[in-house]
Amino acid sequence: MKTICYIAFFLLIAAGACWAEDVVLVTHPNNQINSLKMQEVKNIFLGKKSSWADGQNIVVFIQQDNGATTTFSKEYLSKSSQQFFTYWKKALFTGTGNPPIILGNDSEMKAFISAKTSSIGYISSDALDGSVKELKIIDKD
Amino acid sequence: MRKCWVLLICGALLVIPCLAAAIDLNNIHINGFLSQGYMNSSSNNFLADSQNGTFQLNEAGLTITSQIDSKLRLGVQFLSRDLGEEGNNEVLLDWAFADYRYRDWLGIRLGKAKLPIGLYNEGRDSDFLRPMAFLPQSIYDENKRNLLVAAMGAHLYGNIPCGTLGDIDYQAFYGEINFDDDSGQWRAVELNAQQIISKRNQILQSQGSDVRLALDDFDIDNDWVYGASLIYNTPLDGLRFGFSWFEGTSDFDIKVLNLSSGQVTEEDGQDRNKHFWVLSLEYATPLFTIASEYSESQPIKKVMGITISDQTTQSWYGMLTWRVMEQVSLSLLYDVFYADKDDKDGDGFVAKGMPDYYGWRKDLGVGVRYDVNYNWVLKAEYHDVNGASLNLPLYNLPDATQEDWNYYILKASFNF
Repeated sequence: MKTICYIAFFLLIAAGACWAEDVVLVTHPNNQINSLKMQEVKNIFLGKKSSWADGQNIVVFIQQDNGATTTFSKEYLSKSSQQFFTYWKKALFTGTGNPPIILGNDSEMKAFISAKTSSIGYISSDALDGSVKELKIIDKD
Repeated sequence: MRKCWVLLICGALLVIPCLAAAIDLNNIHINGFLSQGYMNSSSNNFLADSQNGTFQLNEAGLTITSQIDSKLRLGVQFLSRDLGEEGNNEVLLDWAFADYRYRDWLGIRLGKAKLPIGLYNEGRDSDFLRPMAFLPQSIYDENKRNLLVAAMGAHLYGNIPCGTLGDIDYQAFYGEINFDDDSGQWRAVELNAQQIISKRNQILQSQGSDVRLALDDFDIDNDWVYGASLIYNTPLDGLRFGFSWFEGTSDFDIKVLNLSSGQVTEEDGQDRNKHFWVLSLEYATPLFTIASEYSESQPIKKVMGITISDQTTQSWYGMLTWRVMEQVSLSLLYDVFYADKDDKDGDGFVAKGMPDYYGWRKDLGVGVRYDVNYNWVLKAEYHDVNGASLNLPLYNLPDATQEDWNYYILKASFNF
């Protein structure tokens, strides 16, 4: 019984240790939007909100299953990255939605975001520079 | 022709793993999946000749979608599957529709689309979308897949924000379905007809008549299906409640051959899937997911003048999935079905000369899922089952079903 408790404790610690990186939401520098509410972030990244207030279609970019995605999906969507990807796979293979475009890393994300005014994505906070604009989250803990 | 399709899909799936990513060709997206399982059972066959171990447990799908403009999307998915006598890797149109999303709160899909029954019915053909190899059978009965999986018609959908109270996803549909002659639904009614003819032959024999009857031909024609689904996503992250409802009517055409005279007489029947509703609850966090659903339905089935069923069935399950590591999750399932919610001891079956355990099915399952990476999923699970309801006699010799049995499944899935 003691051994099982140790194993369970270790697994919980191991699972928690995966979330370490800070991420920020980013958009094109010319996008009129400067801030979002948490609920809006969820709705955008889960495909429930598809246009900005000015009517432009939101183009969502996400990253492959890496540290940034693990942190983003947990902190902003309350999902594991696997749950986040499964959510979109379900939409894809049942025909109910088109998943966001998956990019490889922060550099690729910044390149795509800076090329599309109506886009949104996330990068590690360390990678933030003038090519993209950080979106503030009004009601994030 | 069928082999060509299978080769085409298999070829595509063998080549594409090298890329391990979707193919995007000028706004046309091509995705797909392939899964292969092995199932073995003791004491009873389950959905296939499983007592001898079977690899007849696979699915392959090819999905093509295109966003025409900001509101209009076209999509199609071809599916090839094998589950015992069902499917045999024939390539079928799984879904195909035009989707016009007028606003986030209102969209319409015209064509063949998946049916939103319970929380998980739409994803039932994609193995990697669920923790275990099969969805809980009490509600997502594989024998009824053909009836419940998708319908050709019109489907309305949308998401309604409710401010600080969360949001609501809704769907409503009306359409019709085509039954495949190897589907569990088809074979169950065909078996009913054969049993009735067999009883008529016994009566004729007891009366000293030389006349013998046989089933000559059989057909099912669906008239319509309709239903709706509401999912309330609460302000508490990961907590959602659902209610869905389904109705449908199908007609049977049965031709009975008099073996003595060669005369064929036509008889009929009807299956009215009445008041099939599901209440759902799911609470998902990054570390664990709790899901439970409760359902009742009143399938009124008449074949050749005989009422096969008119009781209200009762189904429920509870499932706990614990993500012990980012890639590994363990699941525990308890799944219960009663053929007649007012006769949980199966007395009605005993009165008809059948075992009482035809009246229920209780499945206790444990499973492990390993997400190797974005594309690959491996699963292993074991189920201990009591009861033989949900059409178990379809897969076993008459009077050979056992009350206590078990099965295990090993399965690998790839998607891109």
